[in-house]
Amino acid sequence: MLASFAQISPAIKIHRSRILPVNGSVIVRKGQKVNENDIVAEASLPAHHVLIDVVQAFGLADPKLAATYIKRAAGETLDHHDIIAETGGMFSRIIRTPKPGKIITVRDGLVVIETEAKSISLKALYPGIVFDILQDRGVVIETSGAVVQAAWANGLTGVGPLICKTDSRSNELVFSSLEVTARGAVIAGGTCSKPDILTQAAQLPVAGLILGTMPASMIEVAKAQPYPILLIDGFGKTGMDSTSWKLLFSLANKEVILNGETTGGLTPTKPEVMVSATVDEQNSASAKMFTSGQTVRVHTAPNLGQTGRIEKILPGTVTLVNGLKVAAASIIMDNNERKTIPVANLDVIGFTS
Amino acid sequence: MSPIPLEPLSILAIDIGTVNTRAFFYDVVEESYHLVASAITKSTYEPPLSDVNIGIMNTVHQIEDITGRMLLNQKNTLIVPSQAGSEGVDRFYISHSFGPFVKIATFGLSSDVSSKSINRLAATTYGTVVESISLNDKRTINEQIDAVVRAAPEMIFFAGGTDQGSSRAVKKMANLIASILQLLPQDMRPLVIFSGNQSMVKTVKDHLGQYTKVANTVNIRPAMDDENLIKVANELADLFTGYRGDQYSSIKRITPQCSDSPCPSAIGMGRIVQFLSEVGDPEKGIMAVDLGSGSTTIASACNGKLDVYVFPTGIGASFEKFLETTPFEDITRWFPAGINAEEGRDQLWQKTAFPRSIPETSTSLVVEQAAVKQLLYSMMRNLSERGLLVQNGYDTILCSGMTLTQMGTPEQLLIMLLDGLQPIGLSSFVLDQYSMLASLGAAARLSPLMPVQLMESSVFTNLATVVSVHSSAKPGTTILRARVQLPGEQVKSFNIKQGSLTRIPVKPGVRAAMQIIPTRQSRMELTGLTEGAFRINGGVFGLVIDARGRPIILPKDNAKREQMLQSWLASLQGQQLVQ
Repeated sequence: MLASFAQISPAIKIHRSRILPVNGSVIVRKGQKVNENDIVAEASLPAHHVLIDVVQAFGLADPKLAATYIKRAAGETLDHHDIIAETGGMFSRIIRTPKPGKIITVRDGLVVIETEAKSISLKALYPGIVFDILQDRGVVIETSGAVVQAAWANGLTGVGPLICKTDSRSNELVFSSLEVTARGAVIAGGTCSKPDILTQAAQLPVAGLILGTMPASMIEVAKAQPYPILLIDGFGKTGMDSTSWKLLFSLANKEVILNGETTGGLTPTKPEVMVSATVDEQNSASAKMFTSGQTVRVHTAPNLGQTGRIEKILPGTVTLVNGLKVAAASIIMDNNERKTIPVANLDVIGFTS
Repeated sequence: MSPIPLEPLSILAIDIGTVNTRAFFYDVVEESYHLVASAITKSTYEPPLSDVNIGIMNTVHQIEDITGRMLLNQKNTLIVPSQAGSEGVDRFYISHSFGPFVKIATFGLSSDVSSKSINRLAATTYGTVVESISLNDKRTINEQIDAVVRAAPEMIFFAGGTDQGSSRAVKKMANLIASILQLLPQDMRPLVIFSGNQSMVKTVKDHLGQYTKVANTVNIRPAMDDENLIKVANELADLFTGYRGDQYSSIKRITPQCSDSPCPSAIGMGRIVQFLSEVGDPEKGIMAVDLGSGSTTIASACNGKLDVYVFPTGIGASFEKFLETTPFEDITRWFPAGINAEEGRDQLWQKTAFPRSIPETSTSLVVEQAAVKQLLYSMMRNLSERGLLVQNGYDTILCSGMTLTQMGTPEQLLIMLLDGLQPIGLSSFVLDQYSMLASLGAAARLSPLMPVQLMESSVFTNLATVVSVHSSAKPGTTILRARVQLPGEQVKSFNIKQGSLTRIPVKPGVRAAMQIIPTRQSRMELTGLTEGAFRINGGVFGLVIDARGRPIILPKDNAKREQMLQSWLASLQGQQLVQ
């Protein structure tokens, strides 16, 4: 049976794409070493366009005549009130640009001007080597270290030293966790059910927040925050799974990268926490199928966030307490309890992507 | 039933969905087609596997294990056609609904004619209209250009002009599209599909072909009062499949082995619905609802005229949009007693992050069912507001997708469908428990006999025949007497009260006679029903009379509401038989 995977690995080599929203210029070269704050690509986001129909403006019977009156070419930059076209002669009629900008095209009597372009730059975010250049769009960075994939994030990125602020993986983050030492740091905690804590963290400010779980009712507040928030296990109050917690705890005080950008599209990415480190040997599974002995995490209530080991994949289907007949596995949980869990609710921990 | 002579061919059909890939192996057994084996696995188009063929091969291996028939050669390639009759398959079909919704900008000449048609066309595929431009757009040209550039469409649907109509307006719109195309980076320029005035095809292709790929279909509006929606949708299906092939090269690799071009699942489902409506009651419609993880398709047809509508919301990742835009109270109103609303909210959001997850407890199952009820209800309301539902209701409602056919007890499934779809008149609810409708449609062009015979077989379950009546009488008032006669039995009468749900057992395969006699106090509309006797088919639940009115109004008081929900479920369980 084909398995689903959750990337929770203390040591792994990964490739991550960093892509501009529009075409632009890649300003690094293949093989170049980059740090998280290095700019790898830049682009200009067109804000507005102006279309000037010279044929209509001059009332020309033959559109071909427009070419003789247009005084500009594609690529030229225009200052305020620069002339675009003029008929010439004693009573020359003139068309001027309404705004400064750049001529994008001149064709069939139509002149298109791009105005008010906005510059954007793309940071590397991941320290590593530029593995590949995506022409005009971005780069693929090869990096290595510890990775913990998250179930949900608020769409932002950030970097900072990691501080674990709850004593256990299931504990609540409280107001007193956000004292002055948390300023500029990435805070990790089991769960948080008070929206005010998220707001207070912004005032401090923190560089980011990693939680095991959070009630879904706080999504709106989380999305309004100016710093990245990542939920490792998802929604609820159960806290963080033990594998992720142990790994994050071992990374305390190290600089962590939070990538909360979730892209849909053809190659959707999941949010993740990463700590850069040199990796000699990868610690990761590579099987595509569910098999006995694999370490798994349950991602659905009532066992959300619990981890264990597949004892065996059960033959045929199993009838759950609610009457559903599903493919299931017998799992020896971390507390040695044996549970039957639908395979659809399991993620194998640690697959190489 | 079908005049087509039987050609005994083995058929493998694959349906690649957003979260699941399914395989169906059909063969001729005792002179008719049967479903011999089916298999399911997770879809594998996304990272880390990023290859649809891994999922396909996994299901094919499962079919080999079940049937003992060798389907793959030593190179792990499907054997098509079959060899020596026992290895491989004679026909191979693919239907697909996976992948992100394609961003579509539509350009029409008039907002209430060609734009309306082209926007409807966009809804027949797995696409979202991100911008819609017409000549009577109130925005300035510059604002229109900005809007389209910002939306960065992946496809442009362009329609306009009747076949003998003016060409000037088409040229003007083509000029605007040309200007926009030049503003987009070369590798991000959308595919343009022209479905307008056929005399302008060459002009449009020559003009826009300088900047991007241009394809054309027949005119969606060859005359002002003639709309070619489904014909264009069928042509679009091939273009869409080609586009998916450009996006996911792995599907392109397997396409040459297919006996017919892979077919978008919505179009496949539409073919079956259209066929059923052509052979059924011309006055009443056929509807099929396929609730998937990434999308929901509702196809309906009346007298052979088909409508297909693909909603970009399903019960998986795309469910997020629905949760964001729906007041949570609209979902919790369907919660039975004892459900913690906040835990329910957490569960539903968790589903958006893990779309394949399955509810493990009774509580989590009813929470998911409540969300499905509201999702279906909102979609039906949407279609009703657009005037896309048949006034007299639907004779048959086919339900497909794991959530609608397997996620619950038969009682739970029926009440979920009734509360969500809220049908009117007389309807038979039929479950496609294997979710094979789309694959049957994919095979229908070249293997037409197979779907016909499968539709008549027992792989489809007749859940119930439902008579839905609407009355403005007070709850508890007797609004009608239902007279039901089973073959060889006496007529039985049932008094039906306003607000009730009544189950009358009629076994599957049995046809009973029924008559509805409204009472004086009923103030009842017999929409989709007749006052005389009519025939009904039996089913798992036999006959169900739904006298809860339309739309179903639930009491605001939680205790009363929960009691009402419980009593309806109990009625279906046969705990409260009205006689």
